[in-house]
Amino acid sequence: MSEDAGQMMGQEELQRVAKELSARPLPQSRGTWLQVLPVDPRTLYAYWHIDRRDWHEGRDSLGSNADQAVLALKFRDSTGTAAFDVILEERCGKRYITLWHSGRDYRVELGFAGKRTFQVLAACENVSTPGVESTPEDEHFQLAPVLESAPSVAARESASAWFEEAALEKLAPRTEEEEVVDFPLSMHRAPIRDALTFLDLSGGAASEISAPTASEGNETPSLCRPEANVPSENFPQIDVDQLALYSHNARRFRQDANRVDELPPLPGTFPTSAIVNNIQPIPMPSGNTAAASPLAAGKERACFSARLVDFSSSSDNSSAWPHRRMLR
Amino acid sequence: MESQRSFSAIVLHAHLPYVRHPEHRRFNEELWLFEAITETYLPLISMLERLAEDGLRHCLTLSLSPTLLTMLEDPLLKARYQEHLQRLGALAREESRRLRKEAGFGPVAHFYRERIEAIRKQWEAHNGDLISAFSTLRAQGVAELITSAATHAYLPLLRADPASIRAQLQLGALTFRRFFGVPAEGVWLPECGYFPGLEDEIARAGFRYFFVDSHGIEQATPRPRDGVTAPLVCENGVAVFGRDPLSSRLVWSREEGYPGDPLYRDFYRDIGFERPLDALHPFLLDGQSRIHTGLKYHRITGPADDKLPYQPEIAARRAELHAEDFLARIAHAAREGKARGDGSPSIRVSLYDAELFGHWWFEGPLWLEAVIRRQMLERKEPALVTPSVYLQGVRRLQCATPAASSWGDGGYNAFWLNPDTDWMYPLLHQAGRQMQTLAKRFGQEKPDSLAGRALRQAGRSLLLAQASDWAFLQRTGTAGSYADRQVRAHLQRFDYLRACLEDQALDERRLQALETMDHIFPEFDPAIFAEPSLA
Repeated sequence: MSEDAGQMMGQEELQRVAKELSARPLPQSRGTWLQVLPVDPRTLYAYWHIDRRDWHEGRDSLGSNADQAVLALKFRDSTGTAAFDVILEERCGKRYITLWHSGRDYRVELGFAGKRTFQVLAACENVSTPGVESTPEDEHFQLAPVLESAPSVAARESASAWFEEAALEKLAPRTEEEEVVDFPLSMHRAPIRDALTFLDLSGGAASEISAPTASEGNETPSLCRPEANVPSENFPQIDVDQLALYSHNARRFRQDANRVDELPPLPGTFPTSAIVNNIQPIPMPSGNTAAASPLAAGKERACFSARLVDFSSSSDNSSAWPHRRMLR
Repeated sequence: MESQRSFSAIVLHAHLPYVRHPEHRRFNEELWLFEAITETYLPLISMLERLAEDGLRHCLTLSLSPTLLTMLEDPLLKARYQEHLQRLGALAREESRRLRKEAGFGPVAHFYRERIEAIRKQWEAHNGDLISAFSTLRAQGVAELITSAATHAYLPLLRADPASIRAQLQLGALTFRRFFGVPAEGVWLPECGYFPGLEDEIARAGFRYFFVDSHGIEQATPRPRDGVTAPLVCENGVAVFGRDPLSSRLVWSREEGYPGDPLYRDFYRDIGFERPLDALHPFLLDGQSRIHTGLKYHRITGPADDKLPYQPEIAARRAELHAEDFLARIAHAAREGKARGDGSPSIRVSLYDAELFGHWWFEGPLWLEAVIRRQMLERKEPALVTPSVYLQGVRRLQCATPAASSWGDGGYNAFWLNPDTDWMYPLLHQAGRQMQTLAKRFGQEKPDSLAGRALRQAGRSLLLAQASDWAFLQRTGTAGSYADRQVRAHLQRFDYLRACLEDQALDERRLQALETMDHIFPEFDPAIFAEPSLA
């Protein structure tokens, strides 16, 4: 598009071109086709055009039945229980069709209807009308994850901070009676029943980790991918029984940054330096990244919301254990 | 039982069709943009700036359509708006002088004089750059910005033309990114028009959530367990929020909605239809055709024709009371509402056209600011958030497919597909098919070659013809003849360029004229029409 076009063309010339083009006839329809659009749950709108050659060939193919054949739209619904014809008069035209039922899918054909034949000239598939009756319940009700924002989106980081800030600033503060539960990360093996998120509250960049889903073999995935120089037994395992205690409500708690000093001392058995160095994002099939074990790879919904945990912001590894405090 | 935490979100959709006529010195329909800037966009920016100064964040979600963004950036339209403001200011000053001794209408004429002067100063303070103002507000976190389809096409009726749907959504996303430097998280589907499967193109364009009318959620498959205040997630991970019927009714309802209050300004009693022509002469485009000036001196009063003088301060107090009423009703509904089965907080999403606030409902911005301030500063529940903030905290939703729906009259497609408008769809669909053929045949032409430019301009003409506004205006009968001319003009331009490309007979001067008149979407890549459809 020419950047200088605006300066170079005067109004008279633009008006002349606009006027010349507006005098052109509207484009003519071509070919043989049928289009059907839903108007509302019980009304369809069909419009069609039949090329003269196709018209004559279609009629000729009926042979001796041509005289008795009529142009029609044939409607077949996906349930297989309803089929009806609408007789047409014009080679090219439009029609509104009132239906008996809502919420159906139709295949519609345009053609010549004889006594026992229908010579199809054009068809329109998958014409759906919305339903107005109640839809069936989901017997296997399940929650599913929402798409993550692209990692490069600054707005996602802002939104994350906004929600935390919103939760801190705008929701009424929790009462003193609510129980504070600390949980360490080292633990037993058990299948994960639900994917949960919890926060790294050690300071630095706020991050979230989701517990990966377990395989059918009940192996407990670890949060860290083993690296060559660190023995795998030194990596923390997730006690999913304990994690299962924390529901979505737990996600709403946000530790007051001023209370970090109140955190109890770290257990001495965790190889925190290994944690700092060895949590890696791995690509997931959906394009999301996750800090997860190889067991999670291939799981479509595993670690859908995991991000790289930034432990490196802590200068002293021995006290940098991301101690998590949750309310329930 | 412990009270359920709940949220609310206010989403405004700001959109105008692409109306720009450089071939004329002035053009009546360009006034739509000027009125909206004066009465809606500048007041909204002011409001958001005040909220930002007070440290309030994520107060509002604002959808800015690509055509509106393009017009707000356009130097020609900015210059014309400046001239419009000068004429309006002159008219307001003359009226204030004329009515200075009248007890009834004098104060309101003076009110307009001062208001328009304040608008002028605000426009100049921003240097006419409203895009930057919105961008700053986004960066400050006071508003989340999203966008819509490229030319606001009504997508369910383009279902026969998947390439156009893809182009509408992807170009909408690209345009937003060009203006604001970041992708839009959400998309406002034009007229909230949705059909099952559309979420695939929504995701492909990079959006994370969209909105549907209430019955789009209520009739979803499988049946939503928790009602319209529980967003759903489609199988591909795109979230969908349903319009809250209560907050809609309180504002939109002709019978019980706030804007119909007798103390509020009457929209239709405008001096443009009452004063002698010679008094309005400088303001009128041709000195004869009467138009709305925005100077309206009467309050609604009642159904009869005799109206009393408008009293801005009393109307402002009424807006505050309505804000209190709104919050009380929403809070009551939140308390009485069904808790979500999984314990996640619900969210009431209030969807409105932005132009309702200030243009149609003059006191709307006052009401909106009062609602936001009260809700946030008084920590009223449901707490106000934006959809992105909500999705940061609630990451798992019930998986379901919304029902085909729209927020148009009747709830489906009839408002845009009826005997007044059905003539255009065969032509639009045919042009869409032809554009695909052109894109495949000429897509390798260099962008700055004649053929490359013609191909791109053909695509622009097609997209401009697809705007849902043309069918809307024909259906309502307001500016129906202009809408009719516009859709025909764009189809004729497309067909002309198609024929030139196929016949290899391109007239560069004419092409340049079309590029000047339909000066939009510089980033448009016609290759999008050549892509295969999603399975």
